[in-house]
Amino acid sequence: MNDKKNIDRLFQERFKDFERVPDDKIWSNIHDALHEKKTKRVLPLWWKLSGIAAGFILAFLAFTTFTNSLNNEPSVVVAPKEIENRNSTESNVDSSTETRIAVENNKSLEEKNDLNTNKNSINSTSKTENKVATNNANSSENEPDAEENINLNSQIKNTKTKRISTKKSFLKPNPNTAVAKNSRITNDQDSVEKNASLKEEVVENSFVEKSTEKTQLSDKTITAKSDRATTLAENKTPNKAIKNIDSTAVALASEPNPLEEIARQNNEKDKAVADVKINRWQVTTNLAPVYFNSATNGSPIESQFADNSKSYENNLSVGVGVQYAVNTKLSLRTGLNKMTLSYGTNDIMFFGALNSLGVKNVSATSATENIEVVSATNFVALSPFEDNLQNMETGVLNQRMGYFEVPLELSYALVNKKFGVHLIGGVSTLFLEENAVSVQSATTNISLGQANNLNTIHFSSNLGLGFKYAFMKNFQAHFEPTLKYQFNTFSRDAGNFRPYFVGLYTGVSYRF
Amino acid sequence: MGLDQLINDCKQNNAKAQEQIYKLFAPKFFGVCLKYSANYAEAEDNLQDGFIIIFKKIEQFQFKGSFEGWAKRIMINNALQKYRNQVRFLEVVHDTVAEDAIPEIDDQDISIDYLMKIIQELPDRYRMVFNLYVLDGYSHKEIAEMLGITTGTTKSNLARARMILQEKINQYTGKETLPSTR
Repeated sequence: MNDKKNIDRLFQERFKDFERVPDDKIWSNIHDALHEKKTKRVLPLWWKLSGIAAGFILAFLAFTTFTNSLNNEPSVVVAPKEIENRNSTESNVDSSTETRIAVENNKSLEEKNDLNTNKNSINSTSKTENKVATNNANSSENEPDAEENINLNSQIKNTKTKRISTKKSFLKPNPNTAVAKNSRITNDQDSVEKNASLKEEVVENSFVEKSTEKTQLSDKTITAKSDRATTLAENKTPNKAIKNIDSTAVALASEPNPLEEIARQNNEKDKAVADVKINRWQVTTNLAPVYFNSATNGSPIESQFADNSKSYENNLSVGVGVQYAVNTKLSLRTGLNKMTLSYGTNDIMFFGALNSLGVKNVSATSATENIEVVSATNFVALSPFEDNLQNMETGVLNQRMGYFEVPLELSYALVNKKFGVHLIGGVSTLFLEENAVSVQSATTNISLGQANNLNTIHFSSNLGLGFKYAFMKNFQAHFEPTLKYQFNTFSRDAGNFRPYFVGLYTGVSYRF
Repeated sequence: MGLDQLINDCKQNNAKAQEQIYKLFAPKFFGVCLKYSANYAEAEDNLQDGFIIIFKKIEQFQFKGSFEGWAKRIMINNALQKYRNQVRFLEVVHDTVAEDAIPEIDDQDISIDYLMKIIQELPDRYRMVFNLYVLDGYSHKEIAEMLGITTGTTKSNLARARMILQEKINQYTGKETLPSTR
C-alpha cells in the first residue's frame, strides 16, 4: 500500500514525540559546569606581609600611646605620700612607719606653725595628735581606725602643699551638704581662731560635683566642741565613719578615693595636653585622576575577550577625608570618595541576534538581550554574504564600575615640617554604585546591561606616598600618588582580570 | 514535587532539582538537538550547552507559558547560535524553486534513524530552515528574523531541503519519484 504523503507530513509524523536518551556523561558535565568549585583565593604574599606589618604598626601605636599616657603623668598628684602611708599601713604598720608618720606630722605641723603665730600651742597639739595616731596605730594595727587616723595625719601633712587656712571659698556647694553646714564650719573656724589660734582648719574640697562625687573634707579642728564637730562630720561625710574623736582633736576626714585621684590626674593631664596643644584633627578634600589597569590581561566579562586588547580609561575620584593625628608622626585617616573605573575591550563585533546567548557575565535588559557580542578574532572568516545578512558592527565593549570608596589608612610622616613627606598604607572598602556594560561602534552606543559578577562590596589594599606643603598655618596642600590593588572585585569568574588603580590624590586640608 | 517547585529550586541553583529537570526533559531535548545538529556529537554538545544556559537563565523564567516551550526555545536558539558562530563558507545559491512544490513520497518503512541521518546531512541552513518550518512550526517570517535572512531565502532554502530529502528517501526506497506539481 503506497500511501503518498508529502514529505513534510512524513517528517512531522515521524518526529512527533521523538525522544532519545542522551549519555549519562552529559548530565555530569552539566552538573560540573553549574557547580564548579570556587577556586581558592590565593592571597598575594605581599598582602599577607602588609597585613603583618599593619598589625605591628597598630601594636606599636597602641603601646606608645599607652606608655605616653603613663609617662606624661602630671606631677600635680595630690597625695602620693598619703598613698604611701596607706600602703604601709595596710601592710601591717610597723613601728618605724609609725614613727615616720609621726615625724612627718611633726614636720608638717611645724611648717604650719610658721604660718601661724602660736607655735608652741600647735606643737603641743601636734604632739597630741601624733600620740593619738601612734596609739591608734599601735593598739589596733589592723583596724581601719588606724588607717584612717594615719590618713588623717598624712592629710594634715598634705595640707602644707595645699591650702592652709580657712578658705571657705574652697568648700563648694555639695548637693548633700547644706550651705548651712558651710557656715557652721565657718563658725567653728571663727571660734577656734578667736580662742587660741590653736585651731587650724583645713577644708579641702577638690571635687564637689554630684552626689556620686565625694566631698573631700579634711577638717582638723582642735576644739572642745567635739559634739558639734562630730555632728558636722556626720553631716558632711555620711558615707564615712568618724574615726577619731579626741578631746583635743577632732578629725574629720574623708579618705580620698583612688578613683577620684585618677580622675583628677586625668584632668591635670588634659590641662597639660591643652598647654602643648597640637592640632590633631584635619579635614581634607580630595580630587584625583584615577588610572585604572589590570595586572593581567584577562576579561571579567567573558573568556573569549581575554586576549583582546583593553583600553583603560582615566577617571576622576572626588571625596572628603578626615584625619586624626595620633602623635606627630602617625595619623589615622578615613573618608569617602566617589569614583568610576572603566575600560574598553577592543576588537569586538556585535549584532542583533535571535535571542542570543548574551554575554556570559552580563545580565542583559529585555531590550538588549538579543545583542550578540563576539571577539573579532572569531569572525575573520565570515563570508561577505553572511556579513551582509547580519548588521554587524565593529567596536568596543565598555565596562563601567562606579564605587563609593571608604579608605582606612595610616600615614607615617617621614618629614614633618612646612614641607612634609609621609608614607600611606591601609585598606579601602569599595561599595558598588554604578554597573554598566555597553557596546560602542563608530555609529552607535548601546547599553547591554549590568555585569552580574561584580561584588557589591570589595576591598583594596592601598600604598602611597604623600607630599604636603603648609601654605598657611592651618592649611596645607597635599599630593598623594596611591596605588590601590583591588581584591574580591568579582564574585565569580573574574576571567583572570586583576584590577588595580593609581590615584593621584590632590587637595587641601585644614587642621584644627 | 511539582514542576514549579523544581523550577524554583533550580533558581536557587539546587543540584538535585536541576538533575530532576534534566531527567524530565533531556530525552525530548536531545531529540531536538539531534534534528538541529549535523551529527551525534554536536547534538550532545548542544544538549549540554543548552541545559547549562537553561539553568543559568532559569531565574528569568516567570512562569508565563510552559516551561517546556521556554526551554525548548533556548535549545533551538542555542543550536542556531552554534551554527551562526561557526565559521564556514556557505555556498550562495540564488535559485527560485517553486515554493509550493512539496514532494510526495511513499511512506514505507523508512526508519527514523535514516530520516534523522538525512536531516543531519543537510547543509546547515537548509537543516535549520527545514526543522524550524516543518518540525517546529515557525513561520517564514520568524525564521527569517531568527536567522537574519530574508523570507525569500528561507523559502528557497526550505524547497531545496525538501528536494534533497526527497532524493535521499527515493534512493533509500529505490524509487525515482518526481516532484509532484500538484
